[in-house]
Amino acid sequence: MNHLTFEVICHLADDSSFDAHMSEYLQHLHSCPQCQAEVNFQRSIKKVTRKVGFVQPSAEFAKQVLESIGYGKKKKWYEGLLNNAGNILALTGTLLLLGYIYSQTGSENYQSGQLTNNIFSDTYRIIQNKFQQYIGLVSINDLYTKNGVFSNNIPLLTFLAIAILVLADWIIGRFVRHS
Amino acid sequence: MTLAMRILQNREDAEEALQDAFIRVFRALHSFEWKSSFSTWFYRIVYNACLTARGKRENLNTISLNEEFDEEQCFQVPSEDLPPDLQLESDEYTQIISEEIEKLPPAYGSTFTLFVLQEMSYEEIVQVTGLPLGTIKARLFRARTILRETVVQRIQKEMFMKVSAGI
Repeated sequence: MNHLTFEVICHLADDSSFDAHMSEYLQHLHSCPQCQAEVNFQRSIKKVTRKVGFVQPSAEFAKQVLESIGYGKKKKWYEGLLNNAGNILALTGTLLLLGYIYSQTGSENYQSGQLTNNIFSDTYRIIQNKFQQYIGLVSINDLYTKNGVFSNNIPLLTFLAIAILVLADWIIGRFVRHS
Repeated sequence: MTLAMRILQNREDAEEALQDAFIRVFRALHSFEWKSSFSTWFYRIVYNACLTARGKRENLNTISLNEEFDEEQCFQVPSEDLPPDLQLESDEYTQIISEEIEKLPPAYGSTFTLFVLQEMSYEEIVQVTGLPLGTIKARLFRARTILRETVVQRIQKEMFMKVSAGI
């Protein structure tokens, strides 16, 4: 038998059987020191390649990658607010509505019997019947009495709602980042 | 990083391409379907980022995109130039082999790295590079051919210099 081809030598070095003549190749390999040397040479190349191992990136590389994907970047105080502006506005609106409804339970309407003692049915009725009045209250001019005093708690409730939501958003954001 | 180095052959460019690959992975992570291997997907992104980085400088795929495995390339070995008692795993030869691997043309060096160092199968390399199986086999074959030639030449040169110095 002639010497093994380079292709066969590479397959033997990889310990992969690729055709039906494998036993013949192995038989030849045992009896041919030159082919053995070639197979050993290829095996050694592989071993040395693995021994040398991977090229390591520089020490700053990981930091640069993390920075480029925005990890650990300190956000400006308003960025968090802008990112969650939709949530904050929606929840503010909800709290505002609930606050208004709550404030209305002590009003003349409530005392005159238009409302019941059941908070749920009162809420429903207020939403249903006083929607137009609520829209009117959103107008800033209607918030004040003649003496310049707030006619209800809406501004205070609005401020409190936003403050609570911003705080909650900040706390949850910190918790999520740390976890 | 090793793959990037083999393709771009420059540490600075390799780090830049790898950074770009990490950003691509980060952005595309949500779209990864766990049906395939994550490492193959990741290496494909790294490979493509390196090709992009190489860009106009040299088009890696044009080297041998349509290269098929040529049976005539299976030249007869061994030749007489390979010393039978060669201790390739000694520190001296390790350095030579390492240097010669670095000198491999990018198309061959990258395939060799994926196969030998990353221990990927032919099929995985096909997935990473998007090249036909025949091309991958041909590239690996040529990488080994080149390495055999260059490493043996370097070793013979070293031996000659040692003998000369001894005289």
